[in-house]
Amino acid sequence: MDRRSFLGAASTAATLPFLFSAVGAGAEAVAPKPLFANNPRLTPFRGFAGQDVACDNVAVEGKIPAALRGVFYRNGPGLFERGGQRYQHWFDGDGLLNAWRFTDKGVSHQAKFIRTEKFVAESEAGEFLMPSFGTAIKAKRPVKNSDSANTANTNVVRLGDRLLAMWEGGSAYDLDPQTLATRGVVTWKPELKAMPFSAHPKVEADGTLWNFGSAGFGKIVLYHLSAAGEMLRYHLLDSPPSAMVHDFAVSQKHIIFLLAPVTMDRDALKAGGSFGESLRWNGKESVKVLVVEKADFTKQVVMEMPAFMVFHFGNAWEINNMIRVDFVKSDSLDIMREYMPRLMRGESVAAAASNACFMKIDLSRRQCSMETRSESVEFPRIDPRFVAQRNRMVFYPSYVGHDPSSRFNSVLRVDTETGKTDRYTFGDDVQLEEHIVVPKPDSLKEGVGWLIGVGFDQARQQTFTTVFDALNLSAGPVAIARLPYWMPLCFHGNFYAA
Amino acid sequence: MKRSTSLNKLALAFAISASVSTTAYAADLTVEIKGLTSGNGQVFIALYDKSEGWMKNGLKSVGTPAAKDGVTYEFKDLPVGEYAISIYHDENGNGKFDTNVAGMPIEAYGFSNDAMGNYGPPTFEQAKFKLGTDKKTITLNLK
Ligand SMILES: [Fe+2]
Repeated sequence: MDRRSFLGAASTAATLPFLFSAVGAGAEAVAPKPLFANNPRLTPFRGFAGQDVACDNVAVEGKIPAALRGVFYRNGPGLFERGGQRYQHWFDGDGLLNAWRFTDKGVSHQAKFIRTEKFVAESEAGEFLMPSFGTAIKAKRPVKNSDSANTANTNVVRLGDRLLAMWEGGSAYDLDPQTLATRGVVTWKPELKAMPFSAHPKVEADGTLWNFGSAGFGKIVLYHLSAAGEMLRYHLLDSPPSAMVHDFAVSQKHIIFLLAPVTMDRDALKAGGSFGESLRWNGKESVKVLVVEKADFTKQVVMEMPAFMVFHFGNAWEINNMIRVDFVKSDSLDIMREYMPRLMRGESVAAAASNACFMKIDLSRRQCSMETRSESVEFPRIDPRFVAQRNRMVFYPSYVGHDPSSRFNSVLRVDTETGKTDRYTFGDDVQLEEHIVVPKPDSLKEGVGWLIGVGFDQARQQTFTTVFDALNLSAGPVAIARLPYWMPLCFHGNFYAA
Repeated sequence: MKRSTSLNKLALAFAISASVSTTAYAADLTVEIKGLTSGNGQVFIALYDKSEGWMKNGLKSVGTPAAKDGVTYEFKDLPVGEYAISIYHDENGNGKFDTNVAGMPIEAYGFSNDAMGNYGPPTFEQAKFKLGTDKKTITLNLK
């Protein structure tokens, strides 16, 4: 039993796989080819060569609302090639932090690569030195712990005076909210050094932050932080095992995980496969619905549902021992294992379906049920004032049309009480990222505010930000701010009012 | 959680430092350790002469004060044979090789040959080296 942890919990670890992983890894990353020459839709997947960019005065069409003032931070993988090697997976790239600033002078944009240990060392060397999530890069430097390969590339939240750039497998990186300069990894407590601090923390209206880290197969660490960024509590939980736990949900009283039947093929890993390549989908197994009490992390209930895959959650809330949780579901790991590597090779490929799903967890009867909508969506977000509270609306980038290889070309609002939708569709020339709700300062009503988000305009080869009236998407954007250049696509971000 | 790990066995191995053996043919082994990030605490060095007991019962183990520029230690009068070494930098001076709550190392460690394991520590075979009748110096890098 106690053999499992030497340098190593790694031997069974799920998201701490990078330790030692590359040593002796055989497979090499593919060489970059002019894959994108004929596919202008996929330009953002070329990535940057490590350069920081800025635009002080972004061209605005329409009018930015006078009350919309603040910073829209976004984070995503920005660099995919070095020294003749190209990453095979979108998740692999180094974190590139974006800040769109809305001020009385207009809109500005700044993007800066996060100076992780990995990015700094590889920039100096001019080649990849560390294993990555989805590409079997042979380690050329010792991989000391999970932070050795940390790209900090997935999400960004402000917490106290810190701007946290997060990844799934290691520590959060702390950045300067003004300059975006990297300050270093965050160690909440000595015994939490290099522990995974996942990229989808849930922040309640009062600033309380909940997060988790997947600390090995069957181990999840839960975190409870104050609005000021103090670690109030943490707990290492024995959980049903899943090798890929990306996001979770929080209700008034509970923390909810939907643990998909994903295992790690350790032989594939030992034979030199990357972490992502070594994941296995077990569609005959069940999803484990894990519900933990916020007030006592040692109290948990586990239920089961037939297999599905989930990456992202919108929200959870509960009334009378009945939890409602919404998320986006897909049938298997195909989006990650098939679709994304093909995109990264510059192929036009149809995405596997992912749909909005609404689950009821009856804690009294220990039963779960769910309903799935038909729209093609991802990246669900809600009005941030309603996190862990009863909400009615969920917002998504969505796809409509007939070109199966097109990506998200519309924004969608779903009213979960009436089932009605509100949608605006751009042309197929546009691919949209996650869109988020920015509440109007003078209203407490759900959805009263703006929906803002980033997109890539294929015809212009430019990246833009749009502002919608969040309760009237179909009217079209009230403003579009267009950069004179394109940016690699981001995963997630958040807005902080001035 | 189970924190009794083989990492802690590494620490244990130092505690159970075995007796000194002597034979006719003996040589001195100098161990140079580099890659320290501070001069705090001690560097612990465990010497093994066989794969049985690797990472558990060392032939010898010593602690020597850390120095940022590096640490040198000499083992005297070792019999001819095969050896392997594990080291760690007890930077906070608590006498333990510290791990985080998931059991991952958070203090620097290393092995002879700068051997790296694949999903775990290296084996004795990967870390072993030969010592003859002549003086020998080996260099290990903490990581
Ligand atoms: Fe995500």
